[in-house]
Amino acid sequence: MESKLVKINKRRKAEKKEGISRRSFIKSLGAAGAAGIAGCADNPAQKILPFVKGDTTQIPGVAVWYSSTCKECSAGCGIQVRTREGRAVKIEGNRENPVNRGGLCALGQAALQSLYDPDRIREPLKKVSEGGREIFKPISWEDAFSEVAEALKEEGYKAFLAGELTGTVADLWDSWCQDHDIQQAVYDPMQPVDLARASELTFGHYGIPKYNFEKAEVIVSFGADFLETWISPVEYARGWAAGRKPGNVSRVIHIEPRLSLTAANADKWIRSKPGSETAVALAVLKLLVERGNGKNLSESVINRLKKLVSKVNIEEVAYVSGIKRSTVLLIADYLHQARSSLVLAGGPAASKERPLGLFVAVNFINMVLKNVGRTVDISRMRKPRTSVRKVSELVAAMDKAKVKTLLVYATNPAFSLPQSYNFRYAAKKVSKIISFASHMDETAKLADIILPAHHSLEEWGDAHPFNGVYGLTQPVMRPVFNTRSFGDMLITLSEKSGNKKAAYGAANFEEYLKNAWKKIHVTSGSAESFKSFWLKAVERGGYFEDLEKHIPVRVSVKDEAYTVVAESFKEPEHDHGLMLYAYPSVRSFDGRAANRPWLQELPDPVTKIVWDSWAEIHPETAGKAGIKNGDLVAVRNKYGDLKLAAYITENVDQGIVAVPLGQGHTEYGRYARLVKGGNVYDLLQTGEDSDGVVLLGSHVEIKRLPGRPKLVNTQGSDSQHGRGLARTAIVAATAASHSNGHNGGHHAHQEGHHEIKQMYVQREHPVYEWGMVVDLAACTGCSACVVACYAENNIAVVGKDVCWQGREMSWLRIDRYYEKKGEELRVSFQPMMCQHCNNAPCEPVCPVYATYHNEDGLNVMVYNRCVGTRYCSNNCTYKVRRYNWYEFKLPEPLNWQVNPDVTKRTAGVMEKCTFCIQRINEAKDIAKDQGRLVEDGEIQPACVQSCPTEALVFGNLKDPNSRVSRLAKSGRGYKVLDHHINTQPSVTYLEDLKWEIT
Amino acid sequence: MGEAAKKEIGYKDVNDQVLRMLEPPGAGWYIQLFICVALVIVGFFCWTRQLLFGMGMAGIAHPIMWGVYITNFVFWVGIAHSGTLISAVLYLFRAKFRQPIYRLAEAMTVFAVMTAGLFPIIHVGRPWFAYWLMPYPNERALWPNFRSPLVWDVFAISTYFTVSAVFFIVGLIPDIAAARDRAKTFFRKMLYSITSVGWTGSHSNWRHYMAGYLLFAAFATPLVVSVHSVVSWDFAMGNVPGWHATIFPPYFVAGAIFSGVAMVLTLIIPLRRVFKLHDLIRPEHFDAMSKLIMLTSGIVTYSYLTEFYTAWFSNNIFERYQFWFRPFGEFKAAFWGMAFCNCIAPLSLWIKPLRTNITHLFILSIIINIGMWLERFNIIFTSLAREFVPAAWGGYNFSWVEFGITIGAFGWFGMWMTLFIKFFPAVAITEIKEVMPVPMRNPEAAGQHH
Repeated sequence: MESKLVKINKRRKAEKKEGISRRSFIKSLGAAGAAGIAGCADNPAQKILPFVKGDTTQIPGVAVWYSSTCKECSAGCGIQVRTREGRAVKIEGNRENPVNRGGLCALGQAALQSLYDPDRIREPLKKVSEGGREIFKPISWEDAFSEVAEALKEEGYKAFLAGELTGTVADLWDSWCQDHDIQQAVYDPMQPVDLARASELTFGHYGIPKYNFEKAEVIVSFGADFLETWISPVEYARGWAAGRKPGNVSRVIHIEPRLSLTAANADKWIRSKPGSETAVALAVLKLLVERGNGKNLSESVINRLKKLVSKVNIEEVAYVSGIKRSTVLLIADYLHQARSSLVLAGGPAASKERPLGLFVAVNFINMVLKNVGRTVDISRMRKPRTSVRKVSELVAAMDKAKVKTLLVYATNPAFSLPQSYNFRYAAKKVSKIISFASHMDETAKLADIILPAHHSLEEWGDAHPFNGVYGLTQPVMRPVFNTRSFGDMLITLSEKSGNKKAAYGAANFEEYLKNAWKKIHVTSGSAESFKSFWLKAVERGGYFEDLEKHIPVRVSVKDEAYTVVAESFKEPEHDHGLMLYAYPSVRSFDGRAANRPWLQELPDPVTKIVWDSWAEIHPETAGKAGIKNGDLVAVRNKYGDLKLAAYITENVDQGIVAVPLGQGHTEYGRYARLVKGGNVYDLLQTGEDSDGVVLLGSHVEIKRLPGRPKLVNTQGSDSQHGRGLARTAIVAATAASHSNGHNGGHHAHQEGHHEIKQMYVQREHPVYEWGMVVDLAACTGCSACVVACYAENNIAVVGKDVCWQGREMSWLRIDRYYEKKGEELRVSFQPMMCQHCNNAPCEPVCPVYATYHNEDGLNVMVYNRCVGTRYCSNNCTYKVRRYNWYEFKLPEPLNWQVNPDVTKRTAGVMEKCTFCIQRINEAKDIAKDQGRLVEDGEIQPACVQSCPTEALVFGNLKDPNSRVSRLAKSGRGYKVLDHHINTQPSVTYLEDLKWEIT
Repeated sequence: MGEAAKKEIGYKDVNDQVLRMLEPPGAGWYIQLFICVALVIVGFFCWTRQLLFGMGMAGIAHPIMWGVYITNFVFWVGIAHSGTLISAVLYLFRAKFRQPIYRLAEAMTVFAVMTAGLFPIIHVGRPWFAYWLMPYPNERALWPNFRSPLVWDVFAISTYFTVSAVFFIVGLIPDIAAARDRAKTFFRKMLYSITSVGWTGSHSNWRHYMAGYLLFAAFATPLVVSVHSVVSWDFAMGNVPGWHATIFPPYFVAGAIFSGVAMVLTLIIPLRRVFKLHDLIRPEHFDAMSKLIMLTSGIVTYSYLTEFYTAWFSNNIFERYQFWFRPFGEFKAAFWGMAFCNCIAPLSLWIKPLRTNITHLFILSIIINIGMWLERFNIIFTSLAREFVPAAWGGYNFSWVEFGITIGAFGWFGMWMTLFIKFFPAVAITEIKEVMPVPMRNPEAAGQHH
């Protein structure tokens, strides 16, 4: 214990030459206190330092929140970071930010585990040869800077490969690279660059439009998985849910060869043959033009379109795509009749060698439907800078040994650039690689010198996802390790290298950022001083314009758009054989999230597999190769091979092998390396007409290998067995009728609503009766709530082997059920947490009262009293209780994230969802101090807070006017299994609403 | 009964034959004791691992939170059952076939309860707090939850253990006195002198003894019904499909007698052979036990069928699925194994010669023991594997720790049995004498006695 303390103090001293700062003083105080508490069993407290002078900003036990912006992907969601005693413990969505308005995805919430990643680079490193082996040796910042400055001064081809930077730091990077005569290249495999290029062709503006899902009545998506990973999933899920609230009639038709999360949530999922989406889109375009859509367009455009689609033969399209002719007509009918609609293309299905045809066709459809300017906002575009072509040119130059110095920041091409580009080989021919990586990933490993950058939670910065949204990033805590802000490093380096051109007018990046924001202040037209504008922005997490404000944009179709589409006809339609379908998942994203135990243990939203990489194969395809579920399969082509567990599912096309991206790291960290099987990127091919990564179209062979790896699936049975757990109301609505509301919906199960006569005296809840409503119509199954629960409640991550034994610890799980109705597949997602039953079956069976009912209607668990008979779990109807089979520990500093408000559970005791009782008690305390009752909406359990679609609502059922009471009484409400065993749960589910599309 | 016995052996023969068992043991006994102690050590080693690393060392996992340990617990309680039945209930009914076997059955009861009692402690996550299940005064004013069947269990098992142990010890007193009178070594003399509590065999001794014995028999009889009924409530009070059934108490009691009698056979057949007790434990005793097995097997089979009928008749989808899952699901081998062992195999006893065929009975008793273990497996594992929410269905991964502890329990039971037969009379001397003709000077008169 002492050594730990000494180490902390030593580091503080090393960091601060001028002595101990207030903040680090408080932190060591916190550490000392924590050490004292943690060690009470073995060691007495070593040292507890009292405050000499009181500090009003840091009250022990009271959280401090910082607004910031999420930098995990390019969506730019606002976040609020909760810190306790100087450490970030939780990330939540920021309501002020118009991108996400409060929700936050699983990836964003897991950023904490990237901040506290035990495998992060802790100090500047230099590669040296020792005993024939190359190892990294720590060096001082002074030495690191002077070495890099020397390299910058040298003449020769210098290049900087960076990830998708945003906001001011991107501007700084641009001018820095120009000043130092450095070639720039940007690589982020998740950027839909081709979509941005298609916008340039059809609208005359390069960029990704802002999609307004909430305004669309009919949404047709060609493979765009907008509910899980596509572009800005939180924003889109929010818009999608807003369109599905009773009273709205948003319907989703999703066309994709694989059941993605969006396909699972769509009203109709149409299975397409991979690569045939362009043909389908053109057929739809043809039908729409024939039906008279497109009158809004200029004569010349519509005539050219007519000419273009005249060659499309619907029968042929139906044959090629495997989609019935009637279904193609149906899509067109729905779009034609909708008052507003939105057509999208994206995801792996659209990411092919020649992708522009599909994107342009979809843009044309949006144009003829008058969607541009309404649901497709091209006035607020985000302009991705990733260009695989440029990167490929750079790699070619590297390969020819032309590149002298390569600088890399925030991108991992050694992992995520397909093997066909041969980055790893070419990198060996570069004389000096300088990396600013904060994690020891595959690319950092190739570097000669590493100047570790801060995590985005440790530094100043901003994000500019689209026009009108300026998110700010601020440091929420002192850096975990001896790292520097990237912006600061650039400024310092230009000083050290004595570059005369470089004049940034700022001593550090914070100042530079403020200067940049002075311009935003001017353009905002705000009357207040910059200081107050800045402070307000810091407090709110950015500066946000009114997004309803219309910005006029001129649309001009380029000639090339027609040629691109015309060329897509020439695509030879032959049997492609077996194709690889590499898809991004919220669990690992492009690979950047692979070293986060929360995400590795998060069940994949659709397959429910944890801790793994797998190959989804259709039973027919598998049967031909003699592969059974769970077999080890080799997926190979000329670029490489993968050894994965087979997941046999009917929910993929026969012609594809679907593999999630981002697993199979050889570096990056202990958790990332646990998932073996190989890196899918390696097998991908280069795209001749694509500027992004081509996820679809690599031909592969599959072969059964001996052995059966553990493929851990947390879902017991895929079917509900007619038990009516997750209910769906099918709303019969044909394309012809625009029924407002869901009055046509029939409720199959009404028995949940009637009051059952009770034999015994019922429980009294004098003031509060906490309850929850789960709107299944809004739940997408995205699993953000699950990660929120892990983060808030210190839930143990147990690892693959323990998950294999069925011992995962998630208090909140999302049950996923399949139901086949003829050819239609209905997928239901049901968040399942402790139902806090009023007649809880767990309570009477506990021999020691370790679980009991409190007067607020909560089913409370007393960890200290638990003996561990596990009877409560056997008797729990919903199987939501989790048992501590072992003592689970997190390595330093991952354990810094632990929420001090929640008890850590010891081995041998039961645990379960508490409705975040720590938050309830906090709100009750505050209310009591103010002499009032807790107000509706004042308490938000972690899951409720994180939900992007507000599918979860929490509150006091005793108050008839609370939101939760009103929703619980709605006609869609039912309680799971209550009518069978009279558990009287406090959680009410609202039936899912699905529109029948026939 | 016992026509031949009367003629062939007298009081002295009984003393000789029984007390011969207490003579210094041979190598075989030591080997047996060694094996048993070795198994106990294995079990203890496994339990230590579980204590050190957590319950995860056992195969129990979500959603099957009760596994091998509770199966073992119920199995051993079931074994413990028949001892009291044979000694107390049959005593009250004056069933004479009980005399040669009841001592062994009682010993079996006491040691089986001692074995069963280990399992709840091994099973709980924090065994050092297991005493919280006892109602004891404490400054926190915390009591156990009297609504929980597990608390009832604590009472039922501890009462049963106390009563059967007292009954057992009291029954031993006259026989220990007989052994005391013949004891040669100082140690044995001391042991028997103390444990026979000054028994002289006087009329006054006998009068008090018989009254006391009757009292204990009357006291123990309701426990025969109660203990396994209470154990069955561990399941019947739960809402798990496959558990929540009113038939459980009688079904469990019948099953317990069934398994207990089988276990008596498993123990007594080798004992009879090793110690050549053919004169004392005779074919008619086996015949009577076989009939008891036939009866209880019939009850058990009927209960199984009733469960299926109830599931069908209830029209409850959860129950129906559960009873479809048992014979056709993941654990179907256990179900069909159980059906064979408990329902089909005992039917062989309807053939009369097989009822006294010792080899057949021995094999059958082993089969029944396995079958009854499988029955508990079926109730516990398969029910928990398929509960209400299909998303939370799951299977089981057996672990070597569980296996080690299970065989350790057999070692523990065997160890006590092994020690017992060498230190105390395993066959009741006095009671066998009771059913023998009183020795008379005129042997003819003896023949007319009955």
